Amino acid sequence: MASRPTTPCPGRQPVSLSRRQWLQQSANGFGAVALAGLLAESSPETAAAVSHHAARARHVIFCFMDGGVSHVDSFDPKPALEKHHGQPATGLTNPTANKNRKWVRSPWSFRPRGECGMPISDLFPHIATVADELAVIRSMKADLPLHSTGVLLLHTGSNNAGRPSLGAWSHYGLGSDNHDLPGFVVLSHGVVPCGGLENYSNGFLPARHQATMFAVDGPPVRNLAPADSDARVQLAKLALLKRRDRAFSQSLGGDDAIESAIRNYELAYRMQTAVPDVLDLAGETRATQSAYAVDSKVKSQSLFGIQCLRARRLVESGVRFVEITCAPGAANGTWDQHGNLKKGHEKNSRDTDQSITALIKDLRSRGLLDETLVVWAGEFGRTPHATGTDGRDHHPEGFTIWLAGAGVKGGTVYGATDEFGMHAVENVTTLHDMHATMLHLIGLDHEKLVFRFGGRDMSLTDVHGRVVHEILA
Amino acid sequence: MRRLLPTLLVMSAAVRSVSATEPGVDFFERKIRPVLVEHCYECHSAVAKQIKGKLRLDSRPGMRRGGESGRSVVPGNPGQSLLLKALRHESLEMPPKGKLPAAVIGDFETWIRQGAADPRDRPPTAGEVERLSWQVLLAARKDWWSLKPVRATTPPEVRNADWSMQPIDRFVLARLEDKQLQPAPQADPRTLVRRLSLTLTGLPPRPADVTAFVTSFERDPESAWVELVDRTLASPHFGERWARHWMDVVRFSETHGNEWNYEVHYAWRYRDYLVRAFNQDVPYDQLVREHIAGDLLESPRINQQGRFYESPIGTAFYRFGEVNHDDCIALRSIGYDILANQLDTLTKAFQASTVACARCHDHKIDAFSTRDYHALLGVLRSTRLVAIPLDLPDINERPHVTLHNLKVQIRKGLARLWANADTPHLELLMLAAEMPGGEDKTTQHKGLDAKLLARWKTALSVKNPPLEHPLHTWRSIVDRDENTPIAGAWIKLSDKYLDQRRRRKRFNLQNYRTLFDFRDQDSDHILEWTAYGEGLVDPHANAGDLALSGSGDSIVSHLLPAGIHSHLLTARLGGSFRSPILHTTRKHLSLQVLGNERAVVRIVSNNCQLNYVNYKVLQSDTPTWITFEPAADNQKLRAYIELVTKFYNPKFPDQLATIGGAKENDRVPWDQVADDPRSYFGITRVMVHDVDEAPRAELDHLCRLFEDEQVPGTLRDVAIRYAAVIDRAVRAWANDNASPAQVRWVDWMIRNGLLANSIDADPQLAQLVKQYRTIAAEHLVPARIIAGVEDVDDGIDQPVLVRGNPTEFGDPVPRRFLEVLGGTKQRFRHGSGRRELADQIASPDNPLTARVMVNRIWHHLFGAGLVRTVDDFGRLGERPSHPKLLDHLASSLVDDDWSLKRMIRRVVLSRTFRMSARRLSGSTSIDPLNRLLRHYPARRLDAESIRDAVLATSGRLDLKLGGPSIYPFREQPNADRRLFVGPLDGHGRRSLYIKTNLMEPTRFLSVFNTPGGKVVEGRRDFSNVPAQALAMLNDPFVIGQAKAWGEQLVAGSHGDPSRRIDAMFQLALSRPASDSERLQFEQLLDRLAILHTVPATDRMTSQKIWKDMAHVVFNLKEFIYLP
Repeated sequence: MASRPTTPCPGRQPVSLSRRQWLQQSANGFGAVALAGLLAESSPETAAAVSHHAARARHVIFCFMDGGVSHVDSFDPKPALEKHHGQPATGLTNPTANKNRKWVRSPWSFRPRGECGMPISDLFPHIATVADELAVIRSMKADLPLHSTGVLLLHTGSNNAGRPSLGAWSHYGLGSDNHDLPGFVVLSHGVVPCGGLENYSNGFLPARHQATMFAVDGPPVRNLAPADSDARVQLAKLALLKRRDRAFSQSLGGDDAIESAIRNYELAYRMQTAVPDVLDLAGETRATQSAYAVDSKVKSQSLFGIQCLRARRLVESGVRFVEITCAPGAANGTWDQHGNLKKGHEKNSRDTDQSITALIKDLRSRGLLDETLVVWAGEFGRTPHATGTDGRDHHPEGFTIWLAGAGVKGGTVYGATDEFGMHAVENVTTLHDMHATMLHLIGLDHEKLVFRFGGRDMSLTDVHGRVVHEILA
Repeated sequence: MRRLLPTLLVMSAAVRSVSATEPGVDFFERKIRPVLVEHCYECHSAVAKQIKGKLRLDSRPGMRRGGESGRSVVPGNPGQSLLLKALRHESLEMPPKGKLPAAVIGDFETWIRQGAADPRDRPPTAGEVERLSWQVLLAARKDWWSLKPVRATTPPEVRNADWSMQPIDRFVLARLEDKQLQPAPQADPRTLVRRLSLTLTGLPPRPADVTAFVTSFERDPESAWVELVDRTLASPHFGERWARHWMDVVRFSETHGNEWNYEVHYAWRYRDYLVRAFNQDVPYDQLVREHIAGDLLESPRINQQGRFYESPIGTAFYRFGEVNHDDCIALRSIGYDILANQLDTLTKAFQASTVACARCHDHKIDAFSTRDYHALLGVLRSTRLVAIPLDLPDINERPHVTLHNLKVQIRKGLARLWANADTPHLELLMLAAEMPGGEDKTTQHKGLDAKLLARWKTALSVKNPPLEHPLHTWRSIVDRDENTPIAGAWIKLSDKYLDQRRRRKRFNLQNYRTLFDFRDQDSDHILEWTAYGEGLVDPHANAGDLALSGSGDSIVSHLLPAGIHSHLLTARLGGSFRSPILHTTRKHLSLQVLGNERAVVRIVSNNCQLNYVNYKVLQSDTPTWITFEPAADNQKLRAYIELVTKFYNPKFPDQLATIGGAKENDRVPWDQVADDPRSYFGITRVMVHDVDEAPRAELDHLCRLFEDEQVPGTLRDVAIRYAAVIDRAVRAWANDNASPAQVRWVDWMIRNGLLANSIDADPQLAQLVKQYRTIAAEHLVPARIIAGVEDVDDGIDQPVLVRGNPTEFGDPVPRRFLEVLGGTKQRFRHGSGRRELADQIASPDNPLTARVMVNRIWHHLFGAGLVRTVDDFGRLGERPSHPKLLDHLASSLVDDDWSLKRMIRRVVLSRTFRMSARRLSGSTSIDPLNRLLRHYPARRLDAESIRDAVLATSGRLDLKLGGPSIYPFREQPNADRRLFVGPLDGHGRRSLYIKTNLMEPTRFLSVFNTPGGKVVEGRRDFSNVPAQALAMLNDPFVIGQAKAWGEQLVAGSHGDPSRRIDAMFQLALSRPASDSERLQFEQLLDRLAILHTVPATDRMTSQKIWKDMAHVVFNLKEFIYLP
């Protein structure tokens, strides 16, 4: 099976039995309270489960800023826009730069933050307080200015559907720290991202590496709530089913798939109670909940707070890769402000800024930030010139993301765009580079983490990717 | 190939001139050059980005000179030749990927020892190397099992000849005997009938059918089986099952996904077409032709019952998959990505070949070059995506004729009414003008129509009308400075009019070029365009033709300008009108159009169907100029103009706000927007220009006002002038000889209600109009449409897109089939070439077509193909487990006239299909994957069969065939993405009829691996995850069906638990319950009675209990297993 944790983490119960032993010891296979391999395919195959070098991070929390946050309004100040505000933007070459575009200054002012003094705008007042934890890459470059391909590229390293998600690769490479939980969880708002659910798929990797979606509102996993209101009724049914299914398997001379399905019923049974337990925030103090804005009167902010707090709880319980998604905003991505830039970005910042910051501080105070990589990124940035009068267009030519936590050199600003924020010009960094760096931090070599599919060794970064050592501690 | 051949000839000519007679050259050409090209040129020739070790191996001098390490080849001296050392991995290790075979290294040694004959005087250019490399690679890659001709093989001899005489069985048995294995015994009859029903129809057998089969099986197993097979093959549900299989292959989907999830129009018609085709056993080669070129067949297949064409429906397969809606002029890759997906589907579905991998470079492993890719891309770029009406031409002939005749009568009636009624236009005008707020008394006194007068008043009150407005002159006179005499004002206006008329004419003449003009009915331009749909059957109107109101109080809606109009008879028909490929060098293109009700005009570039650029929703029934900016290289983008009524518009229904200038948006399910078919467009001409404005309005119609040289001196004189113009215009229209200028006057009168136009105006007319409207609304068969394709112009040869870059065009490649299958011998000559492509694929000589299809059939009957990678017969795929059997089946398919039913019959009649699924001990170690078919492979049912089985068992299955799809269940609609709420149980329809949605897979089904719908998926995933357990345990669909079944059981007639349990088993599992099963289920019954606190007397009538009992049966693995 996959590798086991060697260092116990705070709040985690070390599991001493192998899953098989443990299943055998649970009476009838049912009734145990722990949660085993949530969506794990119960086949004897195992993950690659190989570390290529010492890992700095054991977990990744990926804050997906879908739709594309404006870099020139957040982490990449451009005085030139102030100066040329309202003037026609000439000499544009990128495809989203239609004619008659005008430069638009940022509605937010920038100021130096933290000891490092990195400039962050007033759009993110909370994140600004953890500036010294951040490594900001201002020279990101993606591919097409389209949501669907952009989101796929960000998640799978390819513009086209069909490849495994970053989280699936991480889970495949490292297995799970805790066999009672899925290795790859997406905290979802029920929004299908542009590019579809393929963003979270296992692609050609075994099915157990696909993301498990936990919904933030209502039942977290579809069909999780037992249909039988009386648990004893369900148990009675399951007991008979197990006997009959065993017999059916025997009648076929022993069938692996049926045996796996029987185990799946055991896991499914336990999931019904265990998943809600893991996600239940009742045990968190009021102060903690409030820090995460769980108690916010604004529903979208409260839901995002719940996502962030659940992310910490999942990481604490050993989940490898957690993706936090944004509450629905613009139709094609929360941050997709083609119009109403100020209002839209401010709403999105209000929803996310405080909770993400609380997450970083909470992880830090629990000693988890040393082993958790936090990545904040959208599929692209936004044009420094306007769509219409008060919006910005899609912009993959140069934008900003940041990383924080395990192995990351905090207080770093890396790379640069040109005077107007149009093109990444210095230390240009691609999404493949970002993927390579993320894998590196969790102890995996992006060139060695391969899966043979269709006669070829496939990898997340294909023939691309460079670890950005400059931002590593 | 046209370009490749001369290069090769030049090179071999060089060979001959220098050293044709030199011994060893032949050896070099056969043994040495191919190895150098394949293994060394990448780093040591003109194509290398950087010559490694400064060594070039692409010419004799380079070879002899060597590189950094010294002399590479010393003729006659293998020991001193570094090349040989490197090949042997004695010094450097070359090639770096791995040592070449010893025989090859031996050839090099021989060659050097014999003098290293080498005719290559000069190094080739990079281009020459690339082409030469491909020829060498192709020669090697051609040698592959699936590319060799199908050989009809005789079945092998077997030791256990008693087992079966059938060829299939002998092929299978021979391989088992090779491994000293025995085939499993025959399965019991209950298993057999269940297996057959599930594989052939996707439904479990009915208990009565099981019993009947078991009885006749006991009498005569063999004839019972044959009879059952034939009966099952004849079931209408056979077609449903095999249609669904094929839908996986063509990535069937009913929406386009991406960001907005637009609908694939009438995709369900393609699904029903497949159901009919499989049920009728349409030969497979015919299906292939219909898919690739169903619109081009000389004698298309006709559905006589439905009175429509079947063949063109096949072409819908091009249209599925994900389609991006973005600006594909700025983002060139979008159009090419859509085409790449079509090409991938085409070559995988019919040829199990990954030609699409050769998009940017020659295929890395298989025998497909990037020129092959572009030869086929040229075919697809010579094809455009259009909505095809399927109705036979005579479908509406009678109502058409009736409507036409009625319209003639209505026109006559109107002419009488308007021209002979002596409507006192002058009086009305004067009254309206001189007596603002006038007295009705006077009107009555003079016998004038009060309503008409009121409308005149409204018309005259127009504020600041533009120069071209009929009342501009009138208002200018009325509003003139009081001190100016009317005569003076008139003269000034007359001068201004004459001046403006001249200026505008000159401006338009100088700045605009006519691209298309449809005003003259004999215009060639009309023939150059393509018209589809019944609204476009005879679409030319002369100026002044009527557009009748479809409903309401008025008879006429408006008069039409000369041109093409889709609503000459009624707006309920409709259609599309498309230009040839544009090639204009002007910056702008303006079209004078009219239209309404979601009709659209647009320029389609690069086949991007959902593009929002150069896209305008028509919202005016007066001719209006709409100006577009085509791409500068519009011809390269294969741009064309298209006018479509709503059902012909692939972006309809459009839920997005303001796209294309629409005022309203359709944010409701299809059936709610489709209930009103009315939609129409008209077009008069298309102009191209560089100036930044549409052509200026011309003023000819005002000529009439000023043609009299006498100058009016009073307002009355002006009114007389107006009345005279109007009278003349109306009379001319009534006599059918109105000029376009006069038509404008009459049209203006109609639109302002100044002519009698009410149904009440004339009883005879009222009768005609009523009749007209009834026939239009009730007697016309609404158009039946499919999203399909058509050829465009004469087609183009696609230039290679260098390294896949959509803006870098290399040499054009002639349209043709794959080189490895003889494509270069015969380039396509007719249109796009699809017809010829179809013939080459649907040919008995094509080594792939029959093999691929019989393998797909085998895959569905045995859970795995003889080639398990059913969509890839190339080197990345797996080899066939039984190559001779595969060829036997492929040649049988062709011999059977491509009958799929006969092929399926052949397979299911075999002993192999009838083997027990019970795994025998020891088989796992010798043949763990059961590739040799020692036993029948039991397996989980596919998603659709699981859901269908639940419905069949619960009694809620509706076996109705075909029709529009049912929206899948979800709690809340998401209108932005066209995700609407469907019923939890899908109205009991088979899963095949649940709408497949690219944006969001159907919930219950997707847990059990329904395909994604974006790419060919001839083999589905079969995952085994806890989510499946959760779905069966807790999904409201399953619970709802358990409840339904429970209610039926309780209402049923079984006297005791034991018999009821047995009946449940018969229904759900096609077998009786064993004693121990009955006992266990009765124990569960007891337990449930206690938990639900149901007294013993009520146990048989407790719905709670029997819902739970039913739920348990649904959850048995046996229930969802194919035994």
